[in-house]
Order: sequence, then structure tokens, then C-alpha cells
Amino acid sequence: MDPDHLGYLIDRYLPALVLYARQWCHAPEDVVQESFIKLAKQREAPLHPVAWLYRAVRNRAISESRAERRRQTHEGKAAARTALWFTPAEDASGLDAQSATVALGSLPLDQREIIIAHLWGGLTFEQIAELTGGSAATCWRRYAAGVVALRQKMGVPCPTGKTT
Amino acid sequence: MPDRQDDLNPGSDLAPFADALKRLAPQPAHLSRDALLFEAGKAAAHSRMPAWVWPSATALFAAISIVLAGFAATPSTPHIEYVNVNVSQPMPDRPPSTDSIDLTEAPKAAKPRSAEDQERTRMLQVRRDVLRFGVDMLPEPKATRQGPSQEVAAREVAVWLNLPPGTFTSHRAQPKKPDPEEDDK
Repeated sequence: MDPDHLGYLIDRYLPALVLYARQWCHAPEDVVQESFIKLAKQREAPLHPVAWLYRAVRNRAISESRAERRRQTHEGKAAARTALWFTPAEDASGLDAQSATVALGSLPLDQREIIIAHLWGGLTFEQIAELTGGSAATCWRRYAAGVVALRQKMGVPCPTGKTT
Repeated sequence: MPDRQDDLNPGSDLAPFADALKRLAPQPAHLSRDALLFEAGKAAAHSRMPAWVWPSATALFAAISIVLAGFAATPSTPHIEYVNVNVSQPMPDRPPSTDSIDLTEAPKAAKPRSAEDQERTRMLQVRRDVLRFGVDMLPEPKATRQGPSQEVAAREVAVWLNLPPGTFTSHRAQPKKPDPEEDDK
């Protein structure tokens, strides 16, 4: 793979991929690093490198979560509880990073995964459907349900004034 | 398309909240970009060639260097050139033994040096012919030339042929012991 393109992917998608991997495991940086290395090892670059990276990160993170479950490290659990998923916004009108982390963490995994992949990863719902093994329509429904649930948990009022 | 659905769906009132969520920046990863690029490049370079190639090549060339250094360190030996030179050397003068003579093949290039050798060669040839074809191969005695007596000739033949004494003697000529029955009569 072209080093410049690889550098662009690292600059653009590294934080989002770490956030995505964080849904399963407590060492997301290692998972993302191994995925980038795996991408560099490919003799032919994949057609959609971002989707490929998300798939690699997902598989590796799930495998890592199984290993973590076996180890049952208390340190990892404590670190996962205290780590913020987002940087605090300097803009006062922005959402609170702490409450967003808590609300997002309380969502079911299938909704949370789709929201992160779509909002911060930029994947389309077709790509997310290929990633998760469902249909694009199902992904869309889960995404909408998850965003509604987030808004409720974070106490953000509906723009139309309705309380959903 | 689901993306268009996201915009066109009645639930698109979620879009402002989704945009606000999207503006939240994920925590930066605790990864060095340069270190990650370096590791990726190293892994990509390693994957193109099996891991054993470079160590094997290094060991091979090291062994060749050691051998060549050994050749260079040892003193050079003088150059020896072997040349084949044909030298005519006289044969040692020794009496020919009858055991070592090949009877099946006549001597080709041996040139008798004296009359005695010629005579000896002729005798050996006669002996060979007699042993092969019989007594008829003996040369005819020359009438004009006065040779040895028959008894001497027979003895010489016996010597030549290595025959036991009395092989050619006639039984009629041998003295016969008188029969005791005749005496009684």
C-alpha cells in the first residue's frame, strides 16, 4: 500500500477506529495498530480501505474481548470506567463529553456500533450492513433507535418541542 | 438508499442531534503516528520475502568469505608441472625363465641381440610347436650336415621338452628278462 495513503488513513481515521474498538475491548490502541499493520501487509490494497479497516478492527477487538474476559483484569475494568471516549468540547453549546460517554456506553452494542461507525467512521449503511452481517434497512432502524435513546439519556430537547 | 433515508425520513429531526454528536471528537489515540508507519512499513517489507532468506544468504556468504580468506592466508605452493618424457632404457640382461614367457603369443618387437638368443628363441618356438601339434613339428635333421647322434638328439629333445627320461625309448630295444617258464622247459 502507498505510504502516503496509509498516512492519510492514520491521520483521518485513527481516533474513530480507536473509539470503535473501545466498544469491545480495553486496549483499543493495540487492536487498531495491528489492523493498520495488517493493512500494510496486504499485497493488493482493498477496494474500500476504510471499510476493510473497520472490519479488521471489529474482528480483532471481538477476539481481544474474549481474551480479556478470560483474564478478567480488574485494572482493565477500572480503566474502562474512567476513560472518556470524547475530548471535552471547548464550545459551551456543544454536547458534554462525559454525558455522551455514559449515554453511549449504556446503549446496546448493536445500536452503539452502528452509531459510531456511521457518525465518526463515515461508513454508509450498506457498508455497516456488510460489516455487521445484517441489512442496510435494519442498520438504519437500529441507528435511528439508538440516536433517539441517546437524546433521551442526555436530556437534549427535541427540536420540534416534542418530548420523545 | 439508507443515507438518503437518513435525510428524507420523517425521523430526520434526529439530524441536528446527530450533527452535534458528530462534532464530539473522539479521544486521540495514544499511538505515535511515525512509529505506526514504521511498524507498518517493516511488516510490509517482511511479508514480501520469507524470513529465512536473509539469514541464510548471510550465512552462505560468510562461509564463502571464510573459505576464501583461508586460501588467501595459506602460503602458495610451488607450481609443479608434470611432463611425460619417453626415455629408451635398455632391458636388464637376465636369463629368460620359461615360466614368464607367454607361449600363446610370439614375441613381436624383441630383437635378438646375439646368435645365442636367436637360437634360444628358435628352440622355444619349436618347443611350443611340439607341445601344441605333436612330435611331427620337430625339424628334419639335415643329412648333409653332420649333427649329433640320434641318442644325443633325443636327449636334447627330452631336455627341451622337459620330458621324463625314457619317454621316447623303444620297448623292443629294452633288454627283456628271461621268462622263468622257459627256463623250466
